[in-house]
This record gives sequence, C-alpha cells and structure tokens, in this order.
Amino acid sequence: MKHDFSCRNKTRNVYILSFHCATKKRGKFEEMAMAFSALLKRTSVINSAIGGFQASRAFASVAVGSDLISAASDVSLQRARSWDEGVSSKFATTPLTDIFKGKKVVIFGLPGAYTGVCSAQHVPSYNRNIDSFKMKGIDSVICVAVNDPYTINAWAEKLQAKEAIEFYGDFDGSFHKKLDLMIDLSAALLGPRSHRWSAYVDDGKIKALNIEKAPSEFDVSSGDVILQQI
Amino acid sequence: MAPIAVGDVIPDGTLAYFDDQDQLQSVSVHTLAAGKKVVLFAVPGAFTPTCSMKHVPGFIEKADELKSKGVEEILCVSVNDPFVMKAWAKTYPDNKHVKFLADGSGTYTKSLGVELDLSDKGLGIRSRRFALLVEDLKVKAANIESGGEFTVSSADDILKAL
Repeated sequence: MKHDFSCRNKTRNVYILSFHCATKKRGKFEEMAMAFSALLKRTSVINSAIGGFQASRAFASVAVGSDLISAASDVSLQRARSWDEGVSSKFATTPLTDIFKGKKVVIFGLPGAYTGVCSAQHVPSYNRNIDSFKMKGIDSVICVAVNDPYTINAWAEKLQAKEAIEFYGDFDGSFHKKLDLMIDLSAALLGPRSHRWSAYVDDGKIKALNIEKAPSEFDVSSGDVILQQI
Repeated sequence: MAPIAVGDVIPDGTLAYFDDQDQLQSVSVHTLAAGKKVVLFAVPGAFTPTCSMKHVPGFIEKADELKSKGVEEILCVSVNDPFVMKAWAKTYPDNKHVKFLADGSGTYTKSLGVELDLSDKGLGIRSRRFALLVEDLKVKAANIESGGEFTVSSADDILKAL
C-alpha cells in the first residue's frame, strides 16, 4: 500500500517532501507523521532564516549566547590518537569542560574524515589561519567529526594538520546529537554524521555559530569567516 | 543471531568501494562471489594496529598463493565508510589483489552475526575479526575470533583449509 505525502509550499518554495509507506502498520504511520512534522518544523525555521538574512541556519539546539558545556553536559569526546596511545591512556576520553572551560576556542565540525570538501577545503582553511587565530587570543582550534579517533588521527596526520589543530572524534555522535547538528548522510554511504559548522566559544559561551545549509557547501563555516567574527 | 558457520550460504548484502577512477560503487556480495572461490575476511577497524599491521598484510603477501589455489577474490570488509576504506587501502601500495570493501552501517556484519561492541574503545559497533573461505556462496571454512584477537583468522589458516 503506497502513501504519497507531498508538501509543496509554493509561496515559499522551500521543500518538497514525499514519503512512501509500504506497510499498513500503525507504528510506521506514527513514525512517518513524527518525522514529517519534525521536517515541517525545520522548514519553517529555514524560512525564517532565509526571510531575515542571516549568515547561519537557525536550527541547532544551541545558539549565540548559549552555554555549550551545559547543553552537552555529560558528553565526552575522544582525542585523535593512535591505537597504542589509546591503550596507554586506557582509552581515556575528554569531557567538554576540559576543552572549553576558561578558554577561547574555535571549533568546527564536518561530515567525515577523508571526504572531499572536508579534506580539500575545510580543514586547510583553519590550518593556514592558525597564526591569525593565535594572534586574536584563541587558545585552541578544534576539529570534530563523527569518526572513531584512530581514523581521525590518521587523517589529521595525512593533512599535516595535527600541529595546528586539535582533532577529536565523536564516534557515536553523542556530542552532535546534543547540539541537534546530526544529519543522515546514508545517501552518500556515510550514515549519521554531523553538519558542516563552526563556532567561536569563549569560556563555554557561544559567541558565533555558523552552520552550512547543506554539508556539501563550504561557505559560512570556513576559517576565514570565523576569523572575522572573533 | 548465531554467527555464520561452515555449511551456511553466505547472505547477500551491499558493500561499497571507490574504483580506480575514484567513482563510488556498490556491489552485491552474491554477484561478487557466485560460482567462485572467494576469501572474505573482516577487521574491526581501519587504521587500528592488528588490522593494519598483521591481519591485512598477511592476506596481501599470500594473495598470489591464494590465487594459485583457485581463490578468485580476496575481500577485506570493515565497518567503515568507503572514504576511510579507500584511504586505508592506499597505505598498502604493494597490494594487488585484496579488495577493500566498506560495510559502513554494519548491515552486512549484522547479517553474518559477527557484530562486536567496541564502544569503550571509541569504535562503536564493529565486526569481529574473521576469515571465511566461500565456494559458490557456501561457507567451507569459518575462522572467527571471539573479538579482535588474531589467532585463527590469518591468511595462513585459510591456506591450510584450501
């Protein structure tokens, strides 16, 4: 049995949604309805973001002025490491407080290690600006992605970026889930990943937040842009 | 579910890889393996030591010998995305025959009943280390480690089964 839900909002011309439901199961309908209304919420948020010209998208669970540490209070990230380093550190993780408390941090997130824009443009835009960041008083520049810390480590070494940038893995997406910055990239065979985004965080408070409209884009989240926002 | 065993028909599934022209390809396991002798081995993770320094090199070194015994495909599978698998494969420039295939969401690993929870190591759900000898989709040898250790799943062990 096929159901075709289409929502075409002609006046705003933003989204066309269609769902095909192959079963009659009630649970599936409820799931669909919830997903549909969640997407509608995002649609209206996109509309208001586009309506008023903003450099960033409006939807994440945090915004400028939020406290990043309390938004994701029980989350830890895994510092990029080789396996041996993992063993000798007993696979220790780093709580967000250690990363952000009392520091001026520039952090950027990207969909995946070894993927195109991430490797060729996003990381380099921070790597080459590191001296400028330091001159503006930034304590650390952090890159985070939904990858395991060993893959991130190998990638960071390949990009020769480990000296300038601290790389962290959010292997189960718990950090990005708390910030509502996850996106399903199964169509690109990546599975659940993070949006492409950047933020300037001072003692845990978000001072600037930039989220690309689509992860394939590379515009507001670059190192050059956030350098101007500090 | 019980892990794959000798006598089973391997399930079909889709794995991904980047071809020589850097195009993303999906391949069905049955298409790759039907009517042939293939070796399918899995590692818990790209860029982790036993996988990188012992398990994979063993199959790369013994590839010619495996081929001389009639093995047509040597497939390395891991729960990683195809970008990572491609980058990892590049760290083995001498590799001629081993294909690195991505089971990004772990679906195929689950269908074989060999998932391994490595969340405490920051890896999430991965595959147990194993090596299978499969002839025309039927499993002839199943050397499955209980976790990530490296005792029964080497290329030498598969050669003994041929």
